[in-house]
Amino acid sequence: MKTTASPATTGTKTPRFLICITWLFLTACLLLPIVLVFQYAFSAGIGRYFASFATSDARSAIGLSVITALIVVPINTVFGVALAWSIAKFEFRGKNLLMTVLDIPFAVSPVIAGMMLILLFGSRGLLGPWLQEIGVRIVFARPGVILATLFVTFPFVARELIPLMHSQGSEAEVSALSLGANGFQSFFRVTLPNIKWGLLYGVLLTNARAFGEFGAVSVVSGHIRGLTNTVPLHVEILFNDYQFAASFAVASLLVLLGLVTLVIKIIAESKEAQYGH
Amino acid sequence: MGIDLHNITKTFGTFHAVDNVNLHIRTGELVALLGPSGSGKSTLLRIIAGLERPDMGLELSPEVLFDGVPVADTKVRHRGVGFVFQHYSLFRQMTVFENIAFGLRVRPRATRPTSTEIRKQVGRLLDLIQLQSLAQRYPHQLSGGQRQRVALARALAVEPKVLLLDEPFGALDAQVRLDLRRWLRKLHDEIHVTSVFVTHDQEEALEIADRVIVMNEGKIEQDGSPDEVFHTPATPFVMRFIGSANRFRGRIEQSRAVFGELEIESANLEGSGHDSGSEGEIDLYVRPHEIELRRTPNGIPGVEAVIEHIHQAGPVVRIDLRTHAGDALAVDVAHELFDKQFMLCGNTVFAALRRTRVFVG
Repeated sequence: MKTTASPATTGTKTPRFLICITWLFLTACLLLPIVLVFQYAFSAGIGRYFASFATSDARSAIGLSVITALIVVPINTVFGVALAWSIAKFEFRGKNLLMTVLDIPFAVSPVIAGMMLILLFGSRGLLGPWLQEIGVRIVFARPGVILATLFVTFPFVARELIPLMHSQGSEAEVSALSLGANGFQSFFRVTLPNIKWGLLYGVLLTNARAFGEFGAVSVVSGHIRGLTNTVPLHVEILFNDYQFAASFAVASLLVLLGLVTLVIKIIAESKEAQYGH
Repeated sequence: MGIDLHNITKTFGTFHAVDNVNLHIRTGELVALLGPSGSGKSTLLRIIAGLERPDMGLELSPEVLFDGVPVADTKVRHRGVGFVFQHYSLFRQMTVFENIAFGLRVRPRATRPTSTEIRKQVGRLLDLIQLQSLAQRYPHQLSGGQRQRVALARALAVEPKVLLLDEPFGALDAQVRLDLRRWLRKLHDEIHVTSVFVTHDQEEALEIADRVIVMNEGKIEQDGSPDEVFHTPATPFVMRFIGSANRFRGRIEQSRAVFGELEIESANLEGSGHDSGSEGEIDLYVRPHEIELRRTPNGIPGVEAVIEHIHQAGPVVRIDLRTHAGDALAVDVAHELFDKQFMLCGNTVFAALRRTRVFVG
């Protein structure tokens, strides 16, 4: 009887063909477009490239994106760490439900997320009339943009940390406690150093998404130039106005942010592998 | 420090992990909690450490006393216990030095030693675990045995009143295990800290503990010195769990115990629960090294059996036999007593049971 090949023997032959296909696909769909974005961005010259950021609309859009990120990233970092901590290290009723709820921002389209905010805070929404009474505008204003971003970037930190913290278990923390550390010391001296690279990557992903979020923000912002436009919305407006060079110049900012995020991810992963388990 | 446990029960759902355990551990003892997995030994250890709370009983409330003082409401970090895990749980982003110094560095400012004192104390502990040269290494650069020694030093740095070790050698290679457990015994002889360690390895427990507590299904089966536990097992479980044992099922009939073709005067039986006069099911146990294989009977009670298999690769010759009643019988024969003339596969020999113990079945 012929014996079937073991995985070890099939694994010794590199599937070169598959690797080639993958690279071709990645080049065509990811690398080439990135190069093209920069080519277009600089097509009108370096002067025009930087001038694209100097317009008041562009400055306002970048400003709003920065403010949004500055508010959203810390909030979601704290929430994400707390959530990952409780899910990964403790057993409690409703844990699976909580995990599922955590995935909602991933599962539903960001446009729906934006529309949920309108249903909640819009003038005809659930809390709309009351908000109007006390004179608070959320939808079609900056708070709406921030809330929408908060919602869509909520799972990133927790999702990054849960598997990491779960695999590390809680023995190190228990050791710290038995050595006399309080909860605060155990977290900052033991837990945080153990998860710092994963956390950094989670934070960067949150940040990249906070800058890049289009769908949810587009629904709630109302596209008020100089007021409620973020960087991606500004890119779209420039594009629709046939200002391609300016549009791609601003877009190149987002591409750069994405590339930096990925480079730091690679560094984080190699640091993580260095300590091993 | 002495530890007292009263009425300790712990259930997880419907599973009785620990079932009404009472225990006293004397100051300076090295005690082994020995049992198969699921016997409740680890849970008991975690209750002593304060990592688990015992269940509140309906009538008797559980008590954990350290030197006579209840510690139920004392948090883990104030109990003064050193805890060592099977998988070391070293702080992987800290050097060996920083791992050991951790317990000193997290003390409140008022009682925290100066950095010179910390350096001195960590140095002393590094001497104790013989790893002075590795102080600046990270845990992932150490071998398993070295890591476990660092974990021990880290636990000892805070001068715990009791050292609790959960399967401390469980993750190590056989040879390292052997070295490390002898080292632990020597260490205990030097520092005399009350220590409780959990293990499922009877050899380990018997070799290093002053006292062995055998657990099964949440209960203490026997509590005694390694000698007592090995030579005079209190229950059939201990008989089977510590060392190996052959079992014969039988009955007490009048003044005789009958195990198939084997009959023994009741009065000559060693073991528990077979008061003369009582009749009923009874089990007879014989250890493999307490059986002598002979060509002919010699007055010692025994059975005839056929040799099925002979394993010579080992410290003793292990011979598998089958009695005429169909029971398997394992016998250990010292190499120098192994007689190739008649100890052959297929031969019928007489197995003289030099020492037997009976337990009511």
